[in-house]
Amino acid sequence: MTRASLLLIAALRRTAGGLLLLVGASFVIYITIRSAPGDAIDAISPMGTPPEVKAKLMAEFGLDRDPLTGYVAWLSRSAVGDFGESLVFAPGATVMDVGLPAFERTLALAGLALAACLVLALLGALLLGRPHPRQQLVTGPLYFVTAAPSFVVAVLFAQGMNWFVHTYVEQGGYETPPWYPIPIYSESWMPYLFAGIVLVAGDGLFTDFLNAVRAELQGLRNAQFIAAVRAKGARTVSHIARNMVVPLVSGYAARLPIVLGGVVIVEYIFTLDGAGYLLLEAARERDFPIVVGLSVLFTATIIVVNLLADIVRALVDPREVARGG
Amino acid sequence: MEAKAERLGLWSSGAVVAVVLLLGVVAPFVAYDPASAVDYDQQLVGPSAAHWFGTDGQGRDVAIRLLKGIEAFFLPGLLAGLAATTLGALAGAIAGYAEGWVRSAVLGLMQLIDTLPRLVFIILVCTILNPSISLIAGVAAVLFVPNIATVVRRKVEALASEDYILAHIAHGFRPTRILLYHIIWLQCRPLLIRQATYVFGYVLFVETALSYLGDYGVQEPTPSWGNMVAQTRELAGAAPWPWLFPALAIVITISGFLAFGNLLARREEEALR
Amino acid sequence: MSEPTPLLTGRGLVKRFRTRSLLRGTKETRALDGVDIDVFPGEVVALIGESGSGKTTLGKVLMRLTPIDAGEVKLLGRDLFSLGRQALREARRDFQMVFQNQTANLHPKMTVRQMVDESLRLHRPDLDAAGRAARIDQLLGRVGLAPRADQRPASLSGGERRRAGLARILATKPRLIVADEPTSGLDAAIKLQTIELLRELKEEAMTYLLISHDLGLVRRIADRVLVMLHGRIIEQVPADLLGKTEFHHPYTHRLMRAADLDDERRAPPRERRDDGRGGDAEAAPEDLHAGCVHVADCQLAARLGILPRCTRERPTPVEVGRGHWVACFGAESPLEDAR
Repeated sequence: MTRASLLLIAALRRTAGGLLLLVGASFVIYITIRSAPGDAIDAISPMGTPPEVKAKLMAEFGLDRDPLTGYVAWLSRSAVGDFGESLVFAPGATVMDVGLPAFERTLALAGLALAACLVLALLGALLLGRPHPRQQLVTGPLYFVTAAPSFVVAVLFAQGMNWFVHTYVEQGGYETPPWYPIPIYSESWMPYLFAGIVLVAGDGLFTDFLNAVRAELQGLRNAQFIAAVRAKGARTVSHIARNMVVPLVSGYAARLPIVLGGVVIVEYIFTLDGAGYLLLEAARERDFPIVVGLSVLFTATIIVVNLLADIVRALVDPREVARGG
Repeated sequence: MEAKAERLGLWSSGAVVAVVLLLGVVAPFVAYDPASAVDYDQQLVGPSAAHWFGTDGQGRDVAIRLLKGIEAFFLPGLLAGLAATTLGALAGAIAGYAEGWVRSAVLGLMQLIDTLPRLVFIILVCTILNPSISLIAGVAAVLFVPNIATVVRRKVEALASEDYILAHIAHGFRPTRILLYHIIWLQCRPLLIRQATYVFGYVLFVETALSYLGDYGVQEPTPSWGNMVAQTRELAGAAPWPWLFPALAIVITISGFLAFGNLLARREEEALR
Repeated sequence: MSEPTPLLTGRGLVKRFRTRSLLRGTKETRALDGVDIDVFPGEVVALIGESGSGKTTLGKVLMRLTPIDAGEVKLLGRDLFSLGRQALREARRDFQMVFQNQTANLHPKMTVRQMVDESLRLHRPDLDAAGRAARIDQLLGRVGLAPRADQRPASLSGGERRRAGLARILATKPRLIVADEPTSGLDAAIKLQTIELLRELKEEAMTYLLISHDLGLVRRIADRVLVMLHGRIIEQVPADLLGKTEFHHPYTHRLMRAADLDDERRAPPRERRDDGRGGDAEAAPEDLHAGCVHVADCQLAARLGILPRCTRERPTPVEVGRGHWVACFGAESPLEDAR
């Protein structure tokens, strides 16, 4: 068997596994819907929903059938991206019309924030070099501070900005400065930058990543094969770099769920027009199709990113292919 | 030097944990009626001897609200940590020891739970079921089971590959004793404590975040650190103490618990070597 | 022949390992390929052979630590593979195993005393706390670890760890000890101590199955030697005849030559056959198991011109001397040719 066909088979196997996971996860979500107390339809529709809309919802979520066939009906619609229509938030529009653009923005924000975090962690690890006792005086408190939940960081950040704005206005400014983090009607990209900073700084993301990268680097520096390369007189940089790819990719994929959690609340605080904001608003107004549609999108993203990470790992490290059989 | 810094970290984070535990135990015994605490003559009084952390927009003492706010997450957090570690340890032991379809089933289930986006799933559950902090803590506990199971499974597999389990079966021990007592209780305890502190921190995070958002968390006038922080919406920069102290309390408690779990586990791991 | 009843009997033991792979299909290796073995009370039987010959697997099968595909194991007349769980656990006190991997025998979080105590609680429910304490002191004194009783494994030396493991095993008062490489990884002085201890126990009528590469150790304490290759026992020889008798299996010769190089850790060097076909054991398992397992490397067969028969037919053990059996067609040839 050639390496390419082995890779292909490994990729197909993993894709099949990912699809299976997606089916399983969507089943968990569906069962959660069915487990609503009392009449499930009342739990998932806003107050005062007209009966014909209720009947449509019932049909869409398969609530008029037994859980299994209902799930199959719901899944076959969801699988092609049909999550029904928004009820309150944007009545008449399909969930995908409303949700997808917002979700793309959220994904970009979370993905870029995490990428920035990865780069910063790598730079930080290279800057700090080998672990040294005195560094703990820096990394210890750093750990302590950055473990703060992102929403608290966001609140403190926004309040700090507020305070700045007050001083700005008092000093003679008469309109909101362009860097104000909470855009009410603004098109500025600054709030996204602020949200990104908050995401990187909160939830222990940065220090956690930094520690992981440092441990990995240190392990490689001490590894026997690196010593062998050094003994040959060759440069070790490329060997270390190649062996860092797998842990970095894995680390990225493993931390994405954390960022996707943090981004929901951070978006809400900065009133960014993303999926997190949409999710919370829709949940508040009981716009159920949107809540479910976005939940599935979030779950699917985590599965797909893990799948991609698996494939990248297989491309870089032949042992990963063998492991897949 | 290294040991000194680490000991300092362990002691300071241990102090945070001890204080939170103490206050959490005391809080239920402190009588507090949010309605009668309102005092419009004392609005937004700064920190003083009478009001350590000042008063909020309705003239309520911030310090006592901070103390009572612990109740919102304390017991659910502890129970969730206990439940998650217990279930996780069992699942990990089964996945590490069993073979064939049992192992595959447990691993598959763990992988399935692990793909659910935690916060999004909790919000989804809250929209469907009657939201309560016990429900949130219960869901959080289940969502953390895979993390813990992985840690325990790796330990079991490492020991199995060193013939540890086989040798002790040969000696006449029951597999359950080897797994539950030797491996989980004696060897995984520090790891489990770390995971339990993590789950506790997560429950605190979710409770405060949802209370901050306002729909599913603790509702005014009952105090929660989260809905106290939410006062920023009305107060903005005018008087920081009603929201700044709870915000700091959240940061210190979460960081303290996580750091304590981590440092404790690290110390135990080093002692094993 | 009137013999004493064996303590342990294995008959027709077969153990296969299958590796299944979507791409490469199912591959089967026979770790045990029809093994018969008897161990009599009070004797020390040594099992020698290169790594991967199935020695450790045989040890584990005899301890009922791994399932078998065919055959039966009897200990004191009881069929081990038909015992229920509870009965098996109780039976286990009669046969104990010292594992090669030291981390396997000891618990990192317990002191030596606690480990022995745990074992006594399990196997000697009749003893009270004081009785156990007395027994622990006695056992630790027996293996010379009394002053280290309250240490954890991490602070013990390699030899002390082995003796701690042995103390725990002796706590059950076993009838039979299977010792897998009891001296590997020890430096010379500690190795000697360990051998001494094993020999003292032998004097106390302990029965051993000794699994080892170490011919020095085998010569010193074994009564009988079984030579294993590719899952078969190809020779059985009284220990005092090892290397001193007229005929040995060609493979045993190679083992002894390798031991003369005085490197117990290294498996005997593989000899290339003249026709250049490598002696790779995994190359053709079917062929290997049809005839003699040594055929791929056998110069004797080539010299005697019996290669076709060795490839086709499986040699049965032939008694070449008192208590000395060899499974080799070469044994049927006149001695001067075979040597």
